[in-house]
Amino acid sequence: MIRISDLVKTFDDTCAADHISLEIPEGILFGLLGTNGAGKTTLLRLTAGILEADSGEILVDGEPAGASEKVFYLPDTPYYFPNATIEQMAGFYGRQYREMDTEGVRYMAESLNLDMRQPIRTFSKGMKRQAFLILALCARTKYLLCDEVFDGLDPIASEVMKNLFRQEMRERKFTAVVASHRLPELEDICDNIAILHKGGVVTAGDMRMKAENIWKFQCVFHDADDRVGLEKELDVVRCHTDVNFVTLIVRGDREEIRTELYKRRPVFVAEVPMSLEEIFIAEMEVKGYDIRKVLH
Amino acid sequence: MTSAKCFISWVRESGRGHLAACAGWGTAVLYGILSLTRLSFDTENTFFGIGSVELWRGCAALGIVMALLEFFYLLQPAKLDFYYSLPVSRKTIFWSRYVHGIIHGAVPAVLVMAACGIYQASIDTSFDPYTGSYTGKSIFVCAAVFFLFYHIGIASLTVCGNIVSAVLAGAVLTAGFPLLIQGACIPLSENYFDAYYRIPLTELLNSVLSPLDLASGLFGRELYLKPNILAFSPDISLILAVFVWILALFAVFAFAQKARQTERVGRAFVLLPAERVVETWVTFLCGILVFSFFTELLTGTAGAGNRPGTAAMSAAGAAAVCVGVHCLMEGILKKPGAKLMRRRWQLAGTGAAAVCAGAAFAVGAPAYDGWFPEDAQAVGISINGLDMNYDTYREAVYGDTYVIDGQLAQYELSGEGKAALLGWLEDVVRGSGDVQTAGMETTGMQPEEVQTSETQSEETSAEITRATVCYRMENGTCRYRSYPVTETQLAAFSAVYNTEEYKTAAYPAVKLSDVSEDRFTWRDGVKDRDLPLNADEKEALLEAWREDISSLEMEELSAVLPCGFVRIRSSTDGSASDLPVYPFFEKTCGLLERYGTDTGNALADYTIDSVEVLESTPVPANVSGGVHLSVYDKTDEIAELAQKLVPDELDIQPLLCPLEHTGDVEAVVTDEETNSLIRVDCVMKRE
Repeated sequence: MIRISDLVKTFDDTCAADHISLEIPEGILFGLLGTNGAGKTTLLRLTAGILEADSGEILVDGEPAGASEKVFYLPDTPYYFPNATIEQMAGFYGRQYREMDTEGVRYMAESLNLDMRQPIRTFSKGMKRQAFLILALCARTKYLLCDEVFDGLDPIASEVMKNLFRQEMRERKFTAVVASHRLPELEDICDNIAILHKGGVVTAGDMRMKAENIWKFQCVFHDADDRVGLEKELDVVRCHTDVNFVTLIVRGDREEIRTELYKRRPVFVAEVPMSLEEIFIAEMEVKGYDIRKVLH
Repeated sequence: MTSAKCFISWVRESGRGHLAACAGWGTAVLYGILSLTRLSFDTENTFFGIGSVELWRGCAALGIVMALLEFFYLLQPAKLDFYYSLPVSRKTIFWSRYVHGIIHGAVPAVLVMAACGIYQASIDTSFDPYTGSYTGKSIFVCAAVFFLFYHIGIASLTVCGNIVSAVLAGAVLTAGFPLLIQGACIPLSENYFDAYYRIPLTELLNSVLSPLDLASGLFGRELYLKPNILAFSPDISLILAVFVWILALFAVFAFAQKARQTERVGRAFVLLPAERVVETWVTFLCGILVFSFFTELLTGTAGAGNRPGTAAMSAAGAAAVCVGVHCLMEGILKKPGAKLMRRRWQLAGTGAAAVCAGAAFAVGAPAYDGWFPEDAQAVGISINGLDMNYDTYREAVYGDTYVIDGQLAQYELSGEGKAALLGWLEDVVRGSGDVQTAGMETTGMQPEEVQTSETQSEETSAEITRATVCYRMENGTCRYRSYPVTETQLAAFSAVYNTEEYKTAAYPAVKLSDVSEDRFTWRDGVKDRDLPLNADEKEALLEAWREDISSLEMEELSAVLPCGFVRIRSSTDGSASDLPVYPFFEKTCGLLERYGTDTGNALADYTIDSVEVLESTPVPANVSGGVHLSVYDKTDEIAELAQKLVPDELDIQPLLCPLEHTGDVEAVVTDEETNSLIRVDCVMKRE
């Protein structure tokens, strides 16, 4: 488990980590979501031991963060030696990480049509990211920290990389922390997500669990008078009205909400499942954070 | 992850780019090939170790290059993230690279020099006795210089965040102290201290605080002769200094590599203390340099008379420059939005330090000039123009320390001469404030002009020359002073001159013994004649000369020039000693006459074919001419000139018995014995 307690890191006058406290459980894909400058990369670099915190601490399995074989950090633009090939980089990482699966690198590279002996500098951006994700996954560390790993990739490459994650997660239970500034990149692979804003954590945890008490209903009323007072009676998070067609996101007991809606004799009432995006919107709007910045 | 195994594996990892190995081994092999090739042609003037300017410069450059190649990653954010994210401690990465740099920097040089030593020993028998010592010492100094500059490079890269600031920090480390000493301390001493000649402490500081001077000193700077170079051992102070430098720099980067903040990479400094130290040092340096510059400028234009005013204006200039430089550096270094004067107390302290340091020279000048050690163990004296030929006199006047230092060593008195000299110096020091500075050093006059002014003026309080003194103290240290000397004071110097100790120093031939086998020659400035003397006659002649010297008084030297020299060439080592013979040396002249030598034979007594006078006058740039050659070949002209001409060789007391040096005069004399022409450099007697 990665336990972050009251972490503070400032760069001159800019507070990149403002008293962050966070727990990242083992065996999950944890997403770090936030706009540019929110402090995602700083938090990852602090966790990887590249930066040192001004105050607070980061414990990785109870030990202070630092040079450790348990953690692999994959930055948004990975460094490689001049003219190095995947094979050479795998050899280099193999000398640093005892669990490195060099054969696994070869297998994955072949399955993704990446030439092991071609200099990495000749690869496209997507190929480079795939190559380094392969290296990162095959290092077989307990914790994998990825910074903007899907950024700028086309949907196919992005899906390929997500499949690599899923495949590796099935094989061994490791913990991955993936930072991104776009929710769609995280929503289909991350179990838990923390939203960072101006160096602080806005919210963190399993969003679906948090949405247990939030419901989405679509209703059609005979006329506008029928829905008057609805927002007073219910804890409405969001309400969208299109003539007599109303979409409500409401917090509260499901049956009580239904009862209240049926009291107004609607033409039609239906409960619809919520996407992660809608859950975020609901969660964040309550906290006054404009989630739309990270939606698309 | 700091096990030895891992460390060694990281040393191997450091060599990934092979650039360091190429630089180290390539340079060494290239140097080795060049040295071996040169040695195969010339073993007398080729030095593969100590004495080789190329080697110390190469070692210094290699040290810097290796530091750059090994530690450039400290300035690369992406590479830093990569390395620091690996399961290897920062210490391991840093120190493995440090070791890697040494392996590929110093080891090849050591091997190549060992190979050169073995090769030279195999082809040069005169090198055999020095094979081990010279090669060993060369390896030592080579390694020391490499380490010095390697550490300078590492320290600069460790405390800085980008290559520009690292280069500037390296330049400040290398040139900061020499600039302070040569650009400020020495000029300020020259301008404020009337009695300044040199300060050994300043010179020592310059040689140990300047990495470049230190390196060249370790390699035997100013040594050219093979025996000297092969036997050379660096001074212990230089060895200590280089160790202190290396250890101090090691401490700096050992601390900095732990404390440096990764996120500050890209900015000028990654350590705030380093930023403040450099800012303070550069501001102070600029302040005191400007103080020195203003002092030089104002002393040059306003003269040395108004020193308080000069110091005040220099202080104002220094303070203004301190503010300017501080603000400039703050503008470069501060974070956006921060106030320009955020470190005003630092500025105030630095500015005050620069002003006070400069003003200390002005304030301390009376104490420096008036200092007089009555308890000096020995005193060396050199009076410009006394007991030196005209050419040496010119060199001394123009500040050739080699000449003056030679005289100070020759005329070091510790007995009766010292007592007389201290008595004379006390009067000189006391009266130095009253001397009118009409000397050459302050007015730029030519030696002959000084003599002219001397003869034309009856002012006896005017400076006619300068006396340089070296006080050797009981603790072995030397203190130097240079005093203006008036005509009266010069006359009073006879009390010193007439002592046996001074004469022994001035005429070292009095100490010669057993000259029976030596060769005696009479030289009258025109031609040399062997003196066919037997052993007893030689001893008798030397003894007679000793007695004449013993009774010689300085006052007699101002009236007459020597009539010639007896040259004694040693039969054992071939060295020559010249015994000046004056017409009033009755015993010597009497003996020489008895042995068939006419000591009264002057230039006019020879057959002069012609006299050529070459005169040159300054002309503007890009204008030809300015040189005028007059040839006198008529009998009456020659007869007239012959009475005025003296062979240049006899001009050995330009201060006491001055001659005219307005042109280059050459007399063409016919040697009737050999029926050949002799060209004699001459000077004119004064009217």
